Amino acid sequence: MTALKVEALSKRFGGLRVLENVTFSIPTGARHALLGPNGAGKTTLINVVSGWLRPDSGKIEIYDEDTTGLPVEKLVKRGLARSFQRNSAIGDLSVLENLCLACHAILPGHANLWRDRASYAQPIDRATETAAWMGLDKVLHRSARELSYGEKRQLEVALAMCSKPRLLLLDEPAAGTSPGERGRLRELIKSLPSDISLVMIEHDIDLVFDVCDSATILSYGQVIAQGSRDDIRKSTAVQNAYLGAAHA
Amino acid sequence: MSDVRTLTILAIAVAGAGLACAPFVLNDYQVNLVIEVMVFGVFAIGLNFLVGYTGLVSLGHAMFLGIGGYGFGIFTVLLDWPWWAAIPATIVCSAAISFLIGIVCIRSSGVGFFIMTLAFSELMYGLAFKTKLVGGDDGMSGISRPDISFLGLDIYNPETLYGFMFIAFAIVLFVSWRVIRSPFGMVLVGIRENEKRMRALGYRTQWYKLAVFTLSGTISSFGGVLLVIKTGFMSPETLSWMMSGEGLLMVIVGGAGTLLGPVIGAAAYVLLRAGLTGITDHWVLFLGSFFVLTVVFFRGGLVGLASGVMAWVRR
Repeated sequence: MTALKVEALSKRFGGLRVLENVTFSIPTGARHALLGPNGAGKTTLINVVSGWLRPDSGKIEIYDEDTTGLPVEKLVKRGLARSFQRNSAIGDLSVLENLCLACHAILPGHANLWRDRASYAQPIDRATETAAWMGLDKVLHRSARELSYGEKRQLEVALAMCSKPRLLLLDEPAAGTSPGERGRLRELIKSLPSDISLVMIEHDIDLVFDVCDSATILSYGQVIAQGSRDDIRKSTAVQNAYLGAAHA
Repeated sequence: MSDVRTLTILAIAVAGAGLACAPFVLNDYQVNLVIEVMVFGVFAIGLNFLVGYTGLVSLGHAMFLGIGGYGFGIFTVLLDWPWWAAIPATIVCSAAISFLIGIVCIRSSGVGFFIMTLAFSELMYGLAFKTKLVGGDDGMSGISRPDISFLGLDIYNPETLYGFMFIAFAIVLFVSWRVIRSPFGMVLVGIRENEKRMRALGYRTQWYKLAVFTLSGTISSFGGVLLVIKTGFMSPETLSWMMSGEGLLMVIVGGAGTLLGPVIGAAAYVLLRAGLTGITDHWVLFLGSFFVLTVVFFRGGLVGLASGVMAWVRR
């Protein structure tokens, strides 16, 4: 079964062609990397797939269902979740409150106006569970603003995991972290359940090759290579466009 | 967080006890002022749901005072309905109107939202000003207070009116407290802080914004009902953008996004105005200075100041 299939996807911003005829697919349970230099269209691709932008043409299928042009909120119900390049947790709220809010979104009662939210056990249980899993159990009651940068990135992934996704899109999960924090994030991402399909944008090549088994390389909005980890490593086109001549 | 909670419970207990005793220790003029605080408190509580909790700044909220006030007037004077039918009918109509206005307004945010709400309130102002049926620019007078003589009480007695207002105010405060503690209340805060994140989690934020707009408009309209019950008179001036601005001042000075902030802001507004008008003709100047100082020095308004002091004392 394919988890994500993108066919001939194009997106323009005015005269600028950000995505041109992008086609790729990944099987269920894949760990897939989107690589490419800055401005290659990686984040735009994630934004189109997750419903933030409408494609000009092309087709997107998630678990064999056509999801082209569906809004963000509906895609969450189809099992898609994403994280952002910039931390998006709510600074004033505690880690637990942030996670509860995230978990409640897919559970009944999230629009209840009258009942005390502390009386909903399910979101709290799931939030606590997710926190433990993402290594945030020690800072559960700290406000998101007070977390270390690495913990903030962990929370960013944790928030996406609360939606119980089948397909998880991570936009530079380790951006801006120290080597120590990155090692921790790498372990956490590697420990995600194997039935979740993962698409990840990341600039840290070591992390990518450790976590991901396949990759698609974009350059100027076009796919210039795709394949398994080893194919990508060997590809001279990739080395020239992305890794730089020094790696050749 | 727990500081704020302790403070809130303490403040409610003290204020509740104080308010319940008020008519027995205060003179009629002072009782009247406290009634005014409660009326504007209800108005500001409604506005706070939009401004404080959801981060949507409305500069047209006085229109809801008008909708509630004129609504009650129309039902009781023009249609001759009894008060106990007119109040729920006005609430239902205000909710429907708030919903319809909300559909248009929530499509924009930031300055756009600000302007849309202002435009609607000017529209309502013009409507009230021009409609002869509700008195036009003369306003609508002769609106009677609810007749509760079946309880053996005379509502034209200040203490009785006070009791009536106190109950209405307590109900609104209770509703507001429940909503703030509910999952819905938390989603509003999420929208205020990061709407994009809330959408990415699967929340259909437009529906939440429409719901809170309706709730906010309905509560503020109820404030309008209370206002007209107190004064017996409704003027188009009540719907002016200046009144909307004063509502915003109450919310911000008291502490936006807190349960009691708008009430404390309404108290500051009513009491300062009453105190200053007795001393000087230039009271607006001093009122304005007070508001500027509060906003500049006490982030989070008077409630923010109080919880800051609490935290400092505890240390």
